[in-house]
Amino acid sequence: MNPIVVFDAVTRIFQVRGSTEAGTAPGARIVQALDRVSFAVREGEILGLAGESGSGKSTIAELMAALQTPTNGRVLFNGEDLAGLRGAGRREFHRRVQMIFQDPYESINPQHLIRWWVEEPLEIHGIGARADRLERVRRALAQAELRPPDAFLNRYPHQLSGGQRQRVAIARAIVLEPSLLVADEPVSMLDVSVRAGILRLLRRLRDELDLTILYISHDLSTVRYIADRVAILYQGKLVEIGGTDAVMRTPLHPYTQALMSAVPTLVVAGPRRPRVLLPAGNGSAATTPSCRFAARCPHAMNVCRQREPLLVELAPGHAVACFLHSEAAVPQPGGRA
Amino acid sequence: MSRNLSEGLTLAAATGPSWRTRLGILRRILFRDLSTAVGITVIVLFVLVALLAPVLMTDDPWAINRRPNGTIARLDPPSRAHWLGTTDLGRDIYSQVVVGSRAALLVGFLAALMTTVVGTSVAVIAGYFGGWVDDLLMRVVDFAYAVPFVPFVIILVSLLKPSLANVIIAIALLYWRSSARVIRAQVLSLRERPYIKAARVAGAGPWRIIYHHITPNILPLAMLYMAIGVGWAIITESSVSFLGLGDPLVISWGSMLNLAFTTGAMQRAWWWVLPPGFSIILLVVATFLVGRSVEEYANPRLRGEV
Repeated sequence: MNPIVVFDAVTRIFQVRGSTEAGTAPGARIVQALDRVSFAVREGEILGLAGESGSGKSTIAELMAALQTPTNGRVLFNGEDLAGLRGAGRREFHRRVQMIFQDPYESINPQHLIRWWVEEPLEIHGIGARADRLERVRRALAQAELRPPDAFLNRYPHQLSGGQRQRVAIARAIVLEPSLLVADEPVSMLDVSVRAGILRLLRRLRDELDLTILYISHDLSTVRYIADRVAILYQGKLVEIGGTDAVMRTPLHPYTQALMSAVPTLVVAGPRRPRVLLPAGNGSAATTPSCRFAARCPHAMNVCRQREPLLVELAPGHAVACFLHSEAAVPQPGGRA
Repeated sequence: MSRNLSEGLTLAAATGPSWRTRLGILRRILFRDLSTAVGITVIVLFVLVALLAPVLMTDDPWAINRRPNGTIARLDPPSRAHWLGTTDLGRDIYSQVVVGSRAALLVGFLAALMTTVVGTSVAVIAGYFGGWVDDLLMRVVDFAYAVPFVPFVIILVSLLKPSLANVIIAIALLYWRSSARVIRAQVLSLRERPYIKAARVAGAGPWRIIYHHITPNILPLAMLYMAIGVGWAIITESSVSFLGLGDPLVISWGSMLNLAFTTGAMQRAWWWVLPPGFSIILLVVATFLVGRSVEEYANPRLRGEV
């Protein structure tokens, strides 16, 4: 399968503007949201991206949708560097890559009718005449399972429930018939009762519209439900990536193991996976090369505090960045999943 | 109907209200309490007076009236012929007060409108684009804040010429600063909203985002500044005219006070001082009463919905 998006050693650094009134030296606060992250999203797959808050999940999403630019490294869409996109190329990119957001109450402009909101992308890209556009809006609403679409056209966002709003956001995202959908925590603000519906919808849309989806969540159970592959992020580092089953059944990285052990299961028979409890804290801001997880890792060794593990493919398609697994953890070039 | 409205309002309170519901909320707030209703009534009355001035006037406000014995009716107290008495040149004060409402309302609304348009535009552009655009525009705002108003008007009017238009321009040139600064702060918060990101993801350019996604959301705040601006503009025009820097060919309440003062009649002819003075106070207080309730509307915290 061809990669549709490639992250090539992407680093993203945020500079927190220190206020001089507070006596902070300018440029004193630097947050490294992503550190040399490399991975690919394959055409037609649903890639799950999991990690705790602050791990850089949303930064990846926004880089992928060109809402941000990398500090270092490249983001490629169909082989083209997003940094070089201008004019027509940029317009085409904004037609083919769409995004849905976490909070359906904040991600739809309250001032506009649903029909206007869903139609806006068509208007921006000058697609279709008025009547044709309305037809496309209806179709997108129906595809997002807002039926009958005519019942929603002339309503305002505040007249809809959270789940309905998220479907409106999805309708707006698919009205341009994109090839990539970035879904940043699309169900985490929704009631449990409507989550499954949205997840099923995303999977169905992937099949029917040939979409590729980046699905971001801190909730591994939804990732397991929807994703073909999973990438685990810890403090701006990709620590593990592989097929969903492989990563969920045999997590290799201690952090993934801890995450997995925290997922509630209904399995009564058979051995229960022991709960891995991590000490609090978020590790140290790495000033010297080291594994970022070392401070909290139950298996930390000396090498973990002296060198930084690279992502190494252990089984076909299953890679991990951990000295426990890679032979003496000799950093080798490559090792990209 | 009323049930639907109140349901709409509850929904709107719980989430982001639509533009149409906002108008409903505005209407409800404007007519809810007595002071606002009084304010609106007073403003409407003054607008009617201004519109119907030719009918309401009993005399040409510039005409020099004479007593039956042929002498000029200098500083006559109120009488049947001149309801609010006459000036030192025998001009009818009632008619002057009536026609003076036109200058007050014209300056008040035009200057407030210009102030708001300029302030909002600067705010939206500075807030949305940020960076050096923001820095530049905000330094201009700082500069506008540093300019003292009356000396500025004196210089401007002496450079140009005293006219109503120049007074309006002077007010607009300086008073946009406060709306610009406050609305910019609002824009800074709005531009980080996910729906702005959603617009950018769809490929919307900055002007589309400003026009369709930011401006509709700051309109309540802009309306607040407009409402407050009307009162300030009227006060300012009166002060400027009182200082003798107003348009000499336009009768305004301020210029009436100026004449009463400069001719030394202020001590003796209360009928020359009180009518324009009370008109200014009444109209300005009315605009502030309305402005207060617009503020309640613009700031959800004041209407008990945090």
